[in-house]
Amino acid sequence: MYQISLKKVNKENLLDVLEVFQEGRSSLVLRFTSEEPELFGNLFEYEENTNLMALVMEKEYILWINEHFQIFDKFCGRKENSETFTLFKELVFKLIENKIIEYNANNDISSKDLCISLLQDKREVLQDFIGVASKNERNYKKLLYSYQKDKVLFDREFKRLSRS
Amino acid sequence: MKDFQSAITDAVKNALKDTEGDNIGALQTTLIEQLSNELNEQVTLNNLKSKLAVLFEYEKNYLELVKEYKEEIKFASTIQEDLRKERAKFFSDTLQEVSNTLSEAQIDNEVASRWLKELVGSYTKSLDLSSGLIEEHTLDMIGKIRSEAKSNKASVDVSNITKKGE
Repeated sequence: MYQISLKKVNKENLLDVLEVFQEGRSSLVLRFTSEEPELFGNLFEYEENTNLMALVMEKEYILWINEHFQIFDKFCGRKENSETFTLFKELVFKLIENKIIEYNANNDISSKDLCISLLQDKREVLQDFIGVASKNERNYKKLLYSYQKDKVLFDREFKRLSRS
Repeated sequence: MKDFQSAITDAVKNALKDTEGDNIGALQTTLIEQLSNELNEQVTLNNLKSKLAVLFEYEKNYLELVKEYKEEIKFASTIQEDLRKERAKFFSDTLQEVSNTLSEAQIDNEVASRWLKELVGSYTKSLDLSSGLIEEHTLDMIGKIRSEAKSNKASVDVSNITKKGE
């Protein structure tokens, strides 16, 4: 299992990362309590289709992981603190790893290959950051734009599964 | 302790060897008992004082360490407490709130149940990661305190305390 190195973590870095994750959890809940139209629309549209409903779930989870980067950018982006980013990145890495392990252990997940591939892409971009002292602008933008890219790939998968 | 007792007995016998009298045996026994008791008390008291002094030094060092790390300990305790509260609130209020929203929106019961389960999984995964991070930070701090306590320990032993007391 991936280990977090806390040798250089100070209170401020720790609080920032905890705050980003807390905000991530709030946003997850908010999508339900605010009756987010796209999500609730899917809940009605695919209520009879187990496979597509499972795909909606995977889409939500992967977009939620992406959202952590946007939240990080909002809260800590201006600070340009590489230690906070390293800590944050390693925690997101764990979030991704946990899900990949879950996917690999479960054969009932629809579009398992797509989900694993999307997560592996993210993991690879994250791995590029490991060992880099400061935020690499190009890689960081790659992570931010993956939010849109994942959405489109999921839409294509929905269309494909709906047709079949 | 036996040598100590023998030494007292020998000393008393030597002191009384030229003394004559009917009760000399009883006097000898009484003297040995009294001297033994008094000297024993003295030795025990001195040992106790040394041990107490060591204990006091240990306590003093630990108190100083706790004082030095007071803010760190408070910080770790606060963030742990906040996370515990958030977890409790999620299961006591938030989940119910989400369940009500799904129900009021007339989402199919089975679908709602699957999504609630999914929400619990994702939310607790994030909580567990945050909790693990806090735990590692706390362990790191405990490690620092232990390491300092260990380096102080060398200066606190009976011989050093005895030397200071002399």
